[in-house]
Amino acid sequence: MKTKRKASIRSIVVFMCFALVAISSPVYAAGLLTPKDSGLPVLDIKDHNVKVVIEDGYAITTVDQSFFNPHGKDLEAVYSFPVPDKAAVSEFTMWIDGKPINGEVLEKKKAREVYEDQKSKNKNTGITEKNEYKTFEISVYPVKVGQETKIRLSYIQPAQVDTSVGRYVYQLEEGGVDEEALAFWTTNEKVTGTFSFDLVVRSGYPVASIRLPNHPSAEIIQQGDKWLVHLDNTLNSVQSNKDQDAALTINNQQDLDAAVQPVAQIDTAFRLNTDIVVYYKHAENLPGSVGLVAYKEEAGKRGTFMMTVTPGMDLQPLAGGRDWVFILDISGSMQGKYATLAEGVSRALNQLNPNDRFRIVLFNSRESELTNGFVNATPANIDQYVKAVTAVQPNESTNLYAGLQLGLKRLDSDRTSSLILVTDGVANVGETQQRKFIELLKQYDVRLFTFIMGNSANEPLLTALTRVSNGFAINVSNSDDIIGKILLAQSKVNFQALHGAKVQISGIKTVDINPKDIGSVYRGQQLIVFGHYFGSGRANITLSGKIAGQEKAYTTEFDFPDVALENPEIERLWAYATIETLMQDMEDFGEDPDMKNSITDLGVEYGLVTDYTSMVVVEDDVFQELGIDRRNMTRIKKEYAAREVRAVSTPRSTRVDSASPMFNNNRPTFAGGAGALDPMSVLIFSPLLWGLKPRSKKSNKRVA
Amino acid sequence: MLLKNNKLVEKSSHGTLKVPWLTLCLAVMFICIYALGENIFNLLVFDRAAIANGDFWRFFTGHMVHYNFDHLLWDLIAFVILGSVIELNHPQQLMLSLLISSIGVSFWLYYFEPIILTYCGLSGALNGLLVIASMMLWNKTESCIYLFVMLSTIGKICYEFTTNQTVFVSMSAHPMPSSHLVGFISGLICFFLLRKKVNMIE
Repeated sequence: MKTKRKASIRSIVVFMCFALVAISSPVYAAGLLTPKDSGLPVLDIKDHNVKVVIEDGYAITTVDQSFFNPHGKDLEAVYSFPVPDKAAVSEFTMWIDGKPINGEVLEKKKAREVYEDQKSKNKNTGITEKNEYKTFEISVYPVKVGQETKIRLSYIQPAQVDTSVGRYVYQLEEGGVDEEALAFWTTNEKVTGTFSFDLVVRSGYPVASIRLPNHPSAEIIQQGDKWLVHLDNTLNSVQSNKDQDAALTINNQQDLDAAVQPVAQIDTAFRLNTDIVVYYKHAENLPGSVGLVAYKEEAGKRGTFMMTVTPGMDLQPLAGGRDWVFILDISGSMQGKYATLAEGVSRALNQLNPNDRFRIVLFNSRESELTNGFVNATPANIDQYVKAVTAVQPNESTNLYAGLQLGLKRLDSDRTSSLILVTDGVANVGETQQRKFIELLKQYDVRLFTFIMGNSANEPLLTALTRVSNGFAINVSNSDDIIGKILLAQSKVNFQALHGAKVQISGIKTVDINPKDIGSVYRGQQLIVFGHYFGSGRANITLSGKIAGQEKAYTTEFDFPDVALENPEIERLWAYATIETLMQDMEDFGEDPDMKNSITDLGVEYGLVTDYTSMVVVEDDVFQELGIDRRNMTRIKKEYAAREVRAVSTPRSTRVDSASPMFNNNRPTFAGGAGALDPMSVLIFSPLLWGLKPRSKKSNKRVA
Repeated sequence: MLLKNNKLVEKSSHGTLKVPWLTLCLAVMFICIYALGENIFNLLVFDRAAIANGDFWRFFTGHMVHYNFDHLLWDLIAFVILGSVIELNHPQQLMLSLLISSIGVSFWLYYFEPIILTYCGLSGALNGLLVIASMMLWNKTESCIYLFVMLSTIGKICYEFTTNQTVFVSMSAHPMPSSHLVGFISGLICFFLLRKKVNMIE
């Protein structure tokens, strides 16, 4: 069976992605929350307009929306949406009497007290809070009878580029992992007025193409160095499921025609229950590089930097048979998805290398193993276990620890073993402390690859586990391109990686570096390092680690600027990265009052919504009355001014190692190469047709 | 009729028609491979990881598969021209030229283009066939037109390197000028290796 000679890892990834496909149509969504059985009327989301700008290595998302109260009494709006990946919520603005009021960040409990106090006094107020890793919740009061209340939320994220493909996700699907919340709330995700999504990519590196896998009808325009993406529901009917995405754009003439027909009394509301995923693919053959974005107000002051290392390392393919342990979440949240999962397992196992072996571990409230130890990937074994997997009925809660513990048993120290964990949920039964998970994994020399399915999963825990085992975690949305995810995972597990990676900066004083522990850098992965620096001038940078057991070091040198004013958002990104590190430490080693205070202080100073801080809006005079410093408002003004300057300037490259390249190789890409000819080539070749004419004596002369 | 219009037949010295059967058979085979779809594509494409796991045939077969119809079409037209020239002049050299050019390109990709995970398409090897066909005809006729063809091809490869794209082709996969250059060089090496034998045959 020659087909079975394909890399076994590929088959595993295929299975993972099948699992992703298996996620059923989303039931939960971003939207307005109303307590079940409360008798409270439901407010409308009137407008929901999203603007995204991706430039200089980070994305700024601004969401303007308005709530409308069609009922007979003033009401409170509670809007919930999934926590976007590494998103620092930096602005919450509420329009009071037509005037925008920026929110300020306070310690979480105090912010809630302020909000409740203002609400009890029937004064305008709003609050944005973070519900752990699951959701952000915005509460606004009052939404007056027959009136609209407008709010704006803005968050900043490092732009993720993997294997030369950037990925931006506007997360809307609720992961459905918080059982208590689901039992308590009903969600209204309908936008009754306008919905629009506009994204701009201003990249210093050339962008070759943009793709929205789940929104193929999106309008995509290239304007010089800029790429624009537009979606809206202004004129047509939009259902948010995948079959009807074609209706999302006003360019779709058929939908336009349908929309203007008076008989078409259909639900024109856009539903906030489908993630919008945007891929932007960089041009091929770009070199491995180092980028630097800094912010430093004055020469004598401390500066903040974001250094993005896009490696171009020589990573060779891996060969040989391996052991694979599939650890599959079969808890209740997987119901409705399992039949397709089983089909995915079938296809994956059928592609295993005959030299490979596999085990299949299942977990819900309890753990169990389908296989009795490792079994060879023979056709008979595969057939047997495919049937066994198919027969499983998912139910109960999620005892992730028990599943992992069982998966780690009976590993063969003579063979390379890897664990594939597929879960869409959280650890809610049995051992749930992150520290215990890490202690467990540290006992084994094994790599854990995690596929985090859907939004609101316990990403801090799952990424911590992969970090400690030098594996990687891949987030997957229902709107992702499954083939793309297969290629992404395949290009990582099939190749060598840089393990024990370290970044050293010398020649200039740097402090507060994040991340402290980099771990492994897999093929295509970018490394983003935040920190503070003092002074300016030439710095030497070294990225070191081991590839296939051999020490490797990549070095470069470049200047840190004396003054840099274009990207004030870098300060917030640094603060958020530091907060994430502190949160990881607390998860690893338990809650610590000092760390908690540090997070609170950082949140307040840099205007960030965290697990311990919230952003509150009150009327202008109340800020003064309560002695709340308007530092976030000042910061927002500074950021808006910088954005206006950037908006009218040409996108610049952030590359700083051009004079002394850190890498000799190009950065990896997804696309395969192709030998392609064109009509011009054929035209050039065509004179050779002359050589087909019958030989003349003259033509034979020379040979003779 | 089509063959006649395209001068892909040749009268022998005895007045009988010569048809480049091998070229046409290979062209039909490439079409069939394309028509058989994704599974065959996946089995034959140059795939770095699969080669590392022992699928060495992909060094050669990767050049027989194509991403889409346009990709196939232009490669196929060029192959029929070049293959016919070589076959009708030195029938026994066609497969050897194709093999050496293909493997030369694959060797380069595998060892010197580590970022390329997969590769497909005949054009790299076709640049090798072009060199062989042109040199054969130039050797035979001393007509400058064949040198002009080679120089034009070098110019085109330079253009591709400069702009990092082919002139008219648009497809999702990344056109690789380096494969054209390596194919061209492979063709030169192949020609000089075979030259002695060619002269003997002549």
